[in-house]
Amino acid sequence: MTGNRADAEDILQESFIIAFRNLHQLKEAVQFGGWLKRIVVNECIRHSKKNQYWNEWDDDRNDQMVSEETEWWKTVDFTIIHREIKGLPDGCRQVFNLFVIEDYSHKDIAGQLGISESTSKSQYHRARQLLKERITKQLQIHG
Amino acid sequence: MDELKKYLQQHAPELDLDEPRSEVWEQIRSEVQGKPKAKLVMLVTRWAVAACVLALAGIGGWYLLRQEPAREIAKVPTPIVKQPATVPVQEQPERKETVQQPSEDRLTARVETPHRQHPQAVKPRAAGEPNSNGMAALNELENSFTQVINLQRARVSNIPMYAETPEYFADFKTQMRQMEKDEKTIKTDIAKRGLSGELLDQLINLYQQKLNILKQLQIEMNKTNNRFKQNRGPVDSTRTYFLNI
Repeated sequence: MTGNRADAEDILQESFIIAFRNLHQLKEAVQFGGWLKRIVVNECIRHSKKNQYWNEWDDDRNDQMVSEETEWWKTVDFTIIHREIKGLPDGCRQVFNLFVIEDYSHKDIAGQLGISESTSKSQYHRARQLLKERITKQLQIHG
Repeated sequence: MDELKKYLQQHAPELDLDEPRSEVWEQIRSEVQGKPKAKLVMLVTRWAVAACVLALAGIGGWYLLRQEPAREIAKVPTPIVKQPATVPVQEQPERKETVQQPSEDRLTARVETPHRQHPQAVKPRAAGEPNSNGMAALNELENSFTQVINLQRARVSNIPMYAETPEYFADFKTQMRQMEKDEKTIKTDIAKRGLSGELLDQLINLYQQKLNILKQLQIEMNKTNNRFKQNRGPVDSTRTYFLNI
């Protein structure tokens, strides 16, 4: 979500401290994992909102990348996918993570990040396009 | 569903590759372990503040309750208290900070005087009028009034004064002395001529006036103290004095 280790570690630390300070709010111990994850995601969102300036993405470009041609990702190593997701530009990286990994809807992402739903969608498509371009390029270079 | 999304969600654990450095866990541990101490200190502080507030409220309530009966007693025209007149004497040890007045002897003497005088005043010198029922009632009346008056007197004597001088209140003292003389005269008349309705009214009236004067004196003392506190700020305990009324 943050794109760099230092910010990620800061958020992780802050999230753990928040969790332990508010441990009394946790009703059942088995829910700790999910509860902590929500805190971490919320902290990531808070961090993004604080540091991110959103540019509206041209809606017309959404239509250009609707249907996916081939499932190009299936042959790619997860290490590369992981590295390239981390390397996505601010904005589209957060949207991509929230939409794909955390399974947020675009409506939820829009509400959480304070952007419009269409911006969330366009940022996601932008992220996908960048991932494809960068990973394909790497595969071409390294084989 | 989006195929890429589906694919990545299915292989999410394989994407979970980054681990925080061990220093991060150490920092988290130290932060989390440091917290209970701070919480404990905060908890203790909160309880201490709550205890202080309760103590102050208690002292305030006690003070108000202590003042209130005196005011009520002063307003009651007929005496109702039947305990011996030694109650004010019990408060004497509190007045150790008295600067100018040797209060203990003074108060004790004053409190006991009416009881010593009383039997003489109503003893059958008035042999011609042996109305024993009337004399018993007079006894009771005098005892009760005397006790209420002494109680109020003790209250006034226990008010620490921060302003003016005892001379400022001399007028009240003169009035009290005058009424004590009148009281003696009435009692002498009763002893000589027997208890009549007119003399009884005079005596009751006199006791009520005594109570009124003591009440007025108390109000004046409080006003003087309040004025002093408002205008001049903190009280100088070395200049504090008590009135010998």
